[in-house]
Amino acid sequence: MVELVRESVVMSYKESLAPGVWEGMSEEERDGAVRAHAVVCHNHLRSTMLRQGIKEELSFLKEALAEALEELSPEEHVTLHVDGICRAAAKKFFFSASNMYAKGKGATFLAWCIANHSKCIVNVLPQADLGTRLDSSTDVALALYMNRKLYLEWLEVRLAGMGAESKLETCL
Amino acid sequence: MLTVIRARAVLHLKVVRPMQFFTNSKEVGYSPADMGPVADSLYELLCDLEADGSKGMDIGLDVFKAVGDSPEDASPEQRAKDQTTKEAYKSWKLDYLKRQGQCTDASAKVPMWQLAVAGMFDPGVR
Repeated sequence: MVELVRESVVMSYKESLAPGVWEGMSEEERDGAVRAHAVVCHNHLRSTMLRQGIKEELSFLKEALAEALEELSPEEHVTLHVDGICRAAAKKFFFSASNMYAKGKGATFLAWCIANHSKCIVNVLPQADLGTRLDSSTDVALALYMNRKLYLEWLEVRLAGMGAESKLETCL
Repeated sequence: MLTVIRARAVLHLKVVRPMQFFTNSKEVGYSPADMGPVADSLYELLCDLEADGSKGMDIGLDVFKAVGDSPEDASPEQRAKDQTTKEAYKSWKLDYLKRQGQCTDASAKVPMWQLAVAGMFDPGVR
């Protein structure tokens, strides 16, 4: 099916050209003119769209922050891989009544919010992310951005109390 | 670091969530073969952003507003299908922005995603 569609794209493009133009094009020009991205699951279109952006994001961060990163101790587990940060946050903060991650502290975090910030809005992460969930790289980023002040305050309180006991919390 | 997390959050609200609607809506009923207009709109956005990234910071940006526009030579059946798509998308957007969340002590409800959008484009909003 995919091959049939690809062939149709090529045929249709060739028909749209004046005689001899296609034959005069280099292999590279032909590839560029009829490049097609085939998907059999339209939900994965989103992941495909994000994949290249994530590569660019990493090179942008490396350029901007690599020197600053060298000044930090490896024990602090600081990373420029935002996907890694999103996964760590999803593990630490997700909250679900029926399914909990063993090292997750979503319930503790929410209890702390209720006790210390009774009028705040929290974007609760309802699912953990083990690196396979669709859209988690942007979904968790939204929660990270919305809850950033609460997350940071909670982490400061936690780390002040327990030191570097939890690698996940230290990393975050 | 916060900048890239914010950029991802903007992408989630402006691109990923609407695309989830187009792929999962029973009312629209799109299969992978129907995703052309969605992919075209996305491609147009990515080209625009490559030329000028600030275009992504428009709070009123609707990346997929052209999805459901019928071509001039569309059949009546196709026009009816496109109309359904347009109406379903419009209705989903309104519902999504109206969806409410409670504050931590349950004393008040707020339109959660409207607040998220506002916070994304104006970080002073909380």
